[in-house]
Amino acid sequence: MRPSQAPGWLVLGLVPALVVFALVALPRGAAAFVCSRVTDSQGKETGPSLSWRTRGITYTLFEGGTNDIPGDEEFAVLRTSFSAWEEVRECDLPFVQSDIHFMENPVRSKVDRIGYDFVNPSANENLMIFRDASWPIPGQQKTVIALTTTTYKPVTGEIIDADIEFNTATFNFVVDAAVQPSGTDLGNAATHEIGHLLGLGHVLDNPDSTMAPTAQTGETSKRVLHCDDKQGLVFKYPSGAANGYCNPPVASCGYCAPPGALTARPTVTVVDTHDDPGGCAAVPGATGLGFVGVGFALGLARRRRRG
Amino acid sequence: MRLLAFVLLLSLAGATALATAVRIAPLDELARDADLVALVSSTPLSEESHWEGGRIVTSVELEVEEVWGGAALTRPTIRVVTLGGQVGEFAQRVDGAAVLPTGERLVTFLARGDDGRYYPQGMWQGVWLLVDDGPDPIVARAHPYGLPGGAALRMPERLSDLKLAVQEARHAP
Repeated sequence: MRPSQAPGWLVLGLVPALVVFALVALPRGAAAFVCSRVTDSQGKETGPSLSWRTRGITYTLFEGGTNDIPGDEEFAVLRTSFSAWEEVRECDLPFVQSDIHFMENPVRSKVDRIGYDFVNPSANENLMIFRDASWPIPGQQKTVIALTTTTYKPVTGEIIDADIEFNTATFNFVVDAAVQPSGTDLGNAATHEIGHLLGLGHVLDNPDSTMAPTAQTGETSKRVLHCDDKQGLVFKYPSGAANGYCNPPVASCGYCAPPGALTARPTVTVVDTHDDPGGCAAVPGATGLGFVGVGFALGLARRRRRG
Repeated sequence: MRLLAFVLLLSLAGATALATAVRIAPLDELARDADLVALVSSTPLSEESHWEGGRIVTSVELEVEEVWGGAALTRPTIRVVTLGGQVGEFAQRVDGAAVLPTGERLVTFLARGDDGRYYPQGMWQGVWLLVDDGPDPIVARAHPYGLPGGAALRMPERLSDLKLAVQEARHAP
């Protein structure tokens, strides 16, 4: 028997509404994710959440890899680390998932450019590079294991480039620290750094989280996302819905409100809630449930048009 | 806020071993490796961010209150470079980079680059924040990107104890 299918209007109208309802209204475990945000002149994170506009992010491997790891195994580890952040579902709400996905540039880069080339924006790559010879920043050689440099637009928080450097000059990276516990597990470090690449910050109150800032030598647990990491990713990039930082029209537009109180109240102005699908428009005081109402209204409107 | 910070630093004092992004350097290592350890006022005499290649860095000129270790300075100010900042319509963030909060007193562990500028040793680990205003204040490493407001603190010390520990580490054989 052929399975019954939901009408299109139902899918288009109700599913996004249900997703948003689930994200804002259903009881969940205590959130312990942190969104990286635009900092103010004091270095305090009070601005928009840093997020990619696209859900498909291309990364580029720097050719040559590292001599720490034989063959091309380091690239396989990096691919696995990226895939850890794909098809992520919330632990408490497994029907809610993120649609972030990664694509590997088939051409490996020969250009050692960390940061951003604003003169030639199309030349920028989200580069993964191993520093076998030396570490480029004074004062970091002995302590920095890996570094993510994220370039963004400070007005919107939109991430436009992110590069990850691994300090293979100092640290002995290994494919599997479970087998070589005196080594630095590449997957453990890479999965954490990719969290930064996605706009997630350090989680302090859960040492099991991939985004926890501390780890033991030989640790491998950060290869696997914890529920907090999954919740953060789904909040920021919910499948089939707008980023959890901008456009839906909620008071926290432009800001990643959970899990803690904001250190500064956002000043939100109603500009336009209809014309700019990528823009940031908000209604002061609007609630998440209010947006669910908007979602249902959209669904009904689609139904009437089709009717 | 200060009380909250104090409670937090006590709770975090036992944090161990390695960070994913950075290895936690013991205090004696920080003190030994630094080219300059100094108590500074973080009210910037000047501050600007600019591009260096593809990186944005922020250069801050700070007033030195007291040198705890390193060569004597020819000027009462130093220029400290941190990763990240904003230039026009672009901004850059490096998780774990040191932040120099304005209007505070800081103990800084700095490496001197070939360009003569100073860089925080071990990123955020090289900047310690004086947590209170007492005669012998508590001082602790400040993690810039932790809690809202950037006040996750660890390894608290009294200022006098920290100074003694730094000097002992730098004079140890």
